[in-house]
Amino acid sequence: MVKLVGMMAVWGLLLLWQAALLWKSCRRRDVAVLAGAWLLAAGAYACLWLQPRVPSVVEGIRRLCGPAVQPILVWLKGEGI
Amino acid sequence: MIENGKISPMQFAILVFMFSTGSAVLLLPSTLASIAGQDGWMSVLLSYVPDLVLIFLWSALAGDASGKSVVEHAEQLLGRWGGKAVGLMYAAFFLLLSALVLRNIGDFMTANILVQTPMLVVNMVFMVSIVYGAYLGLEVLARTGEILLPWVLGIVVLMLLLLTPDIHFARLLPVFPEGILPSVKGVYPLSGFPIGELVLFLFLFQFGKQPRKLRIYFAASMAFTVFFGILVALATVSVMGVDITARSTFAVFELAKEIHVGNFFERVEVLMGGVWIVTIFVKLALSFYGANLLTAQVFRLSGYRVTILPFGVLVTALSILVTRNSAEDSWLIMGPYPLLALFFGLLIPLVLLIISRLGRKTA
Repeated sequence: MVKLVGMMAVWGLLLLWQAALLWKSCRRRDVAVLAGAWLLAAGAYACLWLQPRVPSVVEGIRRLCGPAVQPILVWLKGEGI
Repeated sequence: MIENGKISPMQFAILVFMFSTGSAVLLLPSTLASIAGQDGWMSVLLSYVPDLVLIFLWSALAGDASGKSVVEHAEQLLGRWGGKAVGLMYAAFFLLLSALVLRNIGDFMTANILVQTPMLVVNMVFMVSIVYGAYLGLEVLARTGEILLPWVLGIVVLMLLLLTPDIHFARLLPVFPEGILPSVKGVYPLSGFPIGELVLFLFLFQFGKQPRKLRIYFAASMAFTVFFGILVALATVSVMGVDITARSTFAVFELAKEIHVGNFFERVEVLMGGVWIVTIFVKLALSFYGANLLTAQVFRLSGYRVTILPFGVLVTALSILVTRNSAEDSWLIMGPYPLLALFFGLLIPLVLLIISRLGRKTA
């Protein structure tokens, strides 16, 4: 609980700081990109929250192109990798 | 202007050295020993060839851009959306690189120094200094590099001198027992990590004070890095032997543990850890700065600082998500990562350069 409240407080402060910065610049393009970047960050934290059900990035790469990479590893270190 | 800072060729060269030694100096000796055995130093020497090819390629492309950013140049060559797509891909690559480097430091700290601290906390604390460094800009990072370089070199030289009683050159023999092929194979992981990653400097050429001198300083800095890498590879194998080097994740840290002078000068490995934290700070700050700079150039933001905070939070989370353990890390370095880094370091710049030269010819 303490961890959660602490985390929320840090996030709240960061968002307040961002709001203050935006108030100064007020460029629509900046605001849109910033909102997108915060959404990405929130998505990453959601994945973190869901671990270990979400595979790591490297595990994802291994599932996608593991068989294609295997010959390189065999070439580098020999059979039995 | 998104970034107003200018750096001298010397500062550029120092940043190249700090970036390329970054995490590589601690992690690569074991990878090289597992592929090339006692001839790992030869792989480092051979890696200077792809270094030079890429430096030539990047400086030619930066020369064609003639003062403009590479993203703007790509937009001219590939059209508005094509150029933006290239810029975004590089921004994503630098974000991934930042997460991987932060993960390295997290792995190292939680395995050796702060054993009971959660990795997320270590990474968050480290990321705060990175966000602040990137916020202050390229000039500040360059000056930081200038201040820190003598410490890095001084501590490494001191460590090598103190290790001389433990060096057994017989451990480096026989030379090329299976021919030169294992040493050539050792160039493969090096070509991705750290050589391909140096593509970051393609985007920093425009901030150099004397653009024509940058290529020479770049090549000279890489020559020095190769020399430094050879020394480290020789020292690790000649002190610890091939087997222990290949099995140690952080071989140079293990190497520093071997220093015993009398019965009072011991446990100096933490100094080596300090050196690594310094070089990795520069590497991480530069790759994080690169991700923000490219995002700002692609979306034509008012400055590169707009996205610094959310990207800092994103990289911290990604550093935990990117790998689960050092076995996955090792698989990445030896398997797909060099291909990924060469896609960004070699293929895209080469395609851009060819289109640029063909366009100039037809014009």
